[in-house]
Amino acid sequence: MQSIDQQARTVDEAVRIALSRLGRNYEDVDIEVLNPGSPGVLGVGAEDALIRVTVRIPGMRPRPPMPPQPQPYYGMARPLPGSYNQVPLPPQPMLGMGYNPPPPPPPQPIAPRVGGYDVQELANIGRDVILNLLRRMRIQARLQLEFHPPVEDPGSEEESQSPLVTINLIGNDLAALIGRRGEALTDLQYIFNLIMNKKTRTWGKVLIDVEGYRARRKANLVNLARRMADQVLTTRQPITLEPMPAYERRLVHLALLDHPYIRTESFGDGEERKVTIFPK
Amino acid sequence: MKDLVLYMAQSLVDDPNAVQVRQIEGTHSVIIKLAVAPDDMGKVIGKQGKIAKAMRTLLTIAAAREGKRATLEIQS
Repeated sequence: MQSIDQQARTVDEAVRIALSRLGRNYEDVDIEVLNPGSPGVLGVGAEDALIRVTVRIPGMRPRPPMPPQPQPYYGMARPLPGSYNQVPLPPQPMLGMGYNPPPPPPPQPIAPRVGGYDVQELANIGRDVILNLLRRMRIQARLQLEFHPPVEDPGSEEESQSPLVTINLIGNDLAALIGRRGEALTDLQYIFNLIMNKKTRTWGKVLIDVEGYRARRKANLVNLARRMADQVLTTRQPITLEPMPAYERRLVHLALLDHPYIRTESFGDGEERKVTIFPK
Repeated sequence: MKDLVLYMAQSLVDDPNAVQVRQIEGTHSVIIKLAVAPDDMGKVIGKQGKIAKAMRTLLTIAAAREGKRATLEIQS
């Protein structure tokens, strides 16, 4: 796998230079931001951006035209002609002609497509959006991407949907991005979702996490859901949990979805919406 | 801070060219005034002000990093 590190004043510039060094297009590479860099204040504290660019499938792609084919349905999936403007690049001379292609990648399950985008494309767009937000908030973070297998959504609930990628932000001093009970993270995710929706017509497919907060919270919620379910079965009385954002309510629903003697439902509006656990 | 609001607003509206952001700086506070095309007001305010609230949260975090309190005013 061919991979280079590139330093430059901004991430965009580093990407441009790296692509031209590799003679590759944006679609051919994975870009990992090692350091988003900082413009500094009045030139003080300015820091270069550092990225790692890895050639994905050398020689293969540009992306094939999408044949109309039955697709698994992921919520708002709606085909939309490329509304995402790629980084404009001058035509690249094919450098590295003598480059030996590495062995073909191992066979992978067919990547799900959402609204005409595959998971990697959604992840790339998401990464651009979150970096744009963070840069303007003067927040430095490393991005860690985690891809998830698609999950069946619980039917009628109009809660948030299953994400395909989590972008975990790692850095010093990011507690403000989580906020009290994760409220700041919920707002960050909301703005992020709106921008992603505008760009890709998808919703909630890319999840933002901060320092693994959601992952820890998820473990706690699943535990809580199971404990409360046991209690409901013992007392035969429904239990209502405290208000939670859509994403967390969904985790509770999912945790108890397969429970033979328990059902769950959400009640209330907006900030006050709560999950109630019932005996079946 | 101005650039954060500008980026968010321009990413959300249908008419990014009509987005205007002014920043009024005090010693401990900063006021950001946002104006968008009339048809785009809903895109920056949202149902029950949900979008405006989320933008304010991010703005508050950005301002706190410079030791300031920020106010976002959306002008019609």
